[in-house]
Amino acid sequence: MVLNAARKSLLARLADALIPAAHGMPSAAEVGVCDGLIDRVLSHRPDIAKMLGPFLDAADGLDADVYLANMEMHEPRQFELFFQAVAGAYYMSHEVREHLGYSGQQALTLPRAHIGAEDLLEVMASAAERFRRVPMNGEA
Amino acid sequence: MSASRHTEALIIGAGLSGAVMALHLARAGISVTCLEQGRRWNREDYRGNRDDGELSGLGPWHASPAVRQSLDDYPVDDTKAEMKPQMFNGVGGSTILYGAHWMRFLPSDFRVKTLDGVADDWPLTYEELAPWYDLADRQFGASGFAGDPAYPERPDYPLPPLPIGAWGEKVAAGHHDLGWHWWPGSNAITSRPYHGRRPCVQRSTCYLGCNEGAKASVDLTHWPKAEKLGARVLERARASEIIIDWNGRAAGAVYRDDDGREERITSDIVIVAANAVGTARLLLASRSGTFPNGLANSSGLVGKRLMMHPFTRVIGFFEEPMASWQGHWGQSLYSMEFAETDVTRGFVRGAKWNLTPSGGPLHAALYPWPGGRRWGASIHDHVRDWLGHAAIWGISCEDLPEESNCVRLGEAMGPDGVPGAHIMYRVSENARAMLAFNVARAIESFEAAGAYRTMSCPLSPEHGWHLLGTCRMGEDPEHSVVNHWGRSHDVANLFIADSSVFVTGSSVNPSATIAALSLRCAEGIVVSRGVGELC
Repeated sequence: MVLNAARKSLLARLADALIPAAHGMPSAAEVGVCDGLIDRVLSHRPDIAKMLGPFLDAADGLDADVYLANMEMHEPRQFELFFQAVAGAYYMSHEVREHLGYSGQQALTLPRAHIGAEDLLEVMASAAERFRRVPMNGEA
Repeated sequence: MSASRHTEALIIGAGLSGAVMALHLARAGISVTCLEQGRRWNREDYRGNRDDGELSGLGPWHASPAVRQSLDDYPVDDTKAEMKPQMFNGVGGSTILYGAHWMRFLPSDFRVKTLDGVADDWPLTYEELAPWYDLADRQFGASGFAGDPAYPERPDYPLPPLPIGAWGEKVAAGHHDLGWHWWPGSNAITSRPYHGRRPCVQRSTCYLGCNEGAKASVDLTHWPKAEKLGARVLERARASEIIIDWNGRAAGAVYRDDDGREERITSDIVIVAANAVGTARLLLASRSGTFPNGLANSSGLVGKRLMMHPFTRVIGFFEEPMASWQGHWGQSLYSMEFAETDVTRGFVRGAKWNLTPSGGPLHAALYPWPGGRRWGASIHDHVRDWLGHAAIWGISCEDLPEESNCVRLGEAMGPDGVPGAHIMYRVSENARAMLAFNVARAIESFEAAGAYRTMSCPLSPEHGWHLLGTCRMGEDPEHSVVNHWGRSHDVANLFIADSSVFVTGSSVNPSATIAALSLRCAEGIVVSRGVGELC
């Protein structure tokens, strides 16, 4: 699906209502959600690609906040898909990830020396048994 | 339809139990063919190591077939189910997406009727299953630490445990102060190189498929070995009916291939391993004059007694940054503090807790935050509070078998010409009381660990990972579907190998028990072949 200029404009308004610039973070449109990022979302989520056009068209001429609140209340599944689309695009942005100090899900080398809390593990290991034994003859 | 083929053992379903059976039988020289309705995936297909991982996991890689809407699935109507079933169809089955928590049942889980006066006893004991648990641990490359006082003595795990994480250290300290049980997580995830598998890289995307092959999925651990011994997997082969011959014995199956052509394959034995929803669906759809209520269903129990481990989560928030978007997912550690029955709590049976990392920013943004909008300016607060600062207690409650919780044939047809599955499931009052109690204790746990805030909800209906009990085992054919070997009471050469056969559900993740039961069932078949009959 390719968003035309009108739909991109609608998306920018709604996306910035969903994720505005605040608390030191940029808005959705500022980081390019409406450009390449939304295209990546649509390529991975055909279910979103199917609903996005009509969802945007229905917002034409309406206040973005009011429209989104109404959709959240009355069309929760459609709203949730839109939320996933915009937030999904937003948090794929390198700029946003830099702001968050998040480098994505990385491959790390496992520590070999310890697993953590070894001293407490020793205490737990020497605790009394904590399971019910079953009588051999089947009686309670 | 082309000329039919023949195999000694026909397995329906290439998931955990089907793969375990296939390898064991193939090692004994028995020819094996498996019909798998889904496809075979490559590790490069999984989205976990891509930027869209979290997003894709909410759509085409979601664990619920109703969300995923894949051509590899059949319709599942879960609109009337208070827990939504999760599963995956493909070579590897649900092990492609599972978290690989590797837990044994407790001894008391096999004697629920005797000890607690509810439900039923299993026709076998923990001690009888223990050697098969040991073998399953080695086959799956389980990592963990023996010596847990919440369990009987057992051999060392093949691999040492994975690190418990900064959040795990906090919770361990909290539980130490509370005097509560905790133990390093046991997982079918490698912590060292093991039989060609690399160690876990802690990417925290286990639920999307493991790009490294560190998580044990049976497309890696079992099928390659079985196929080297001659076992065959027919992919995108949808079984629509189990064939019964004029002697009342299972004779093979009818299936549709990838082109939609109807084919037949004949066999000496049939093993159904399609999970508690798929197995019940296929048996119910395999009606005949001899079995008007569905195959192997003279008891009337096929499809009934569905158990799903009512599940919820408690999130703990910590000031200290912990990078808790990383870490195997997988369980960092677990607690069995409230797993055994204590009637003073107001319910019977118990819950197992698993501590996990908490995902990336999209997980944080989309969580149903209480008290106001999830979106708008507050989204930034939500993500900042959560990302790297949160840990999750998952609470898995044992639910008791009830015939009204069931799998029936649905109205929508599947691509195999078989009706889909319709799930009826209600969370009982016992389970709701158990959930509420355990949520309150998990909040205490996080507070003892130093969390400044917690969030919880009464039930997480979307996490219906554990599908159990729809073809229960037992010795009385009037009140069970299979015997303790997994052999159908009604059809001597028909076996069920998956968690359909569970009598009760325990509170723990079922994968290790499914593997152990499957190994035992397969050995029973091998032994009986040795005395002249393939069952």
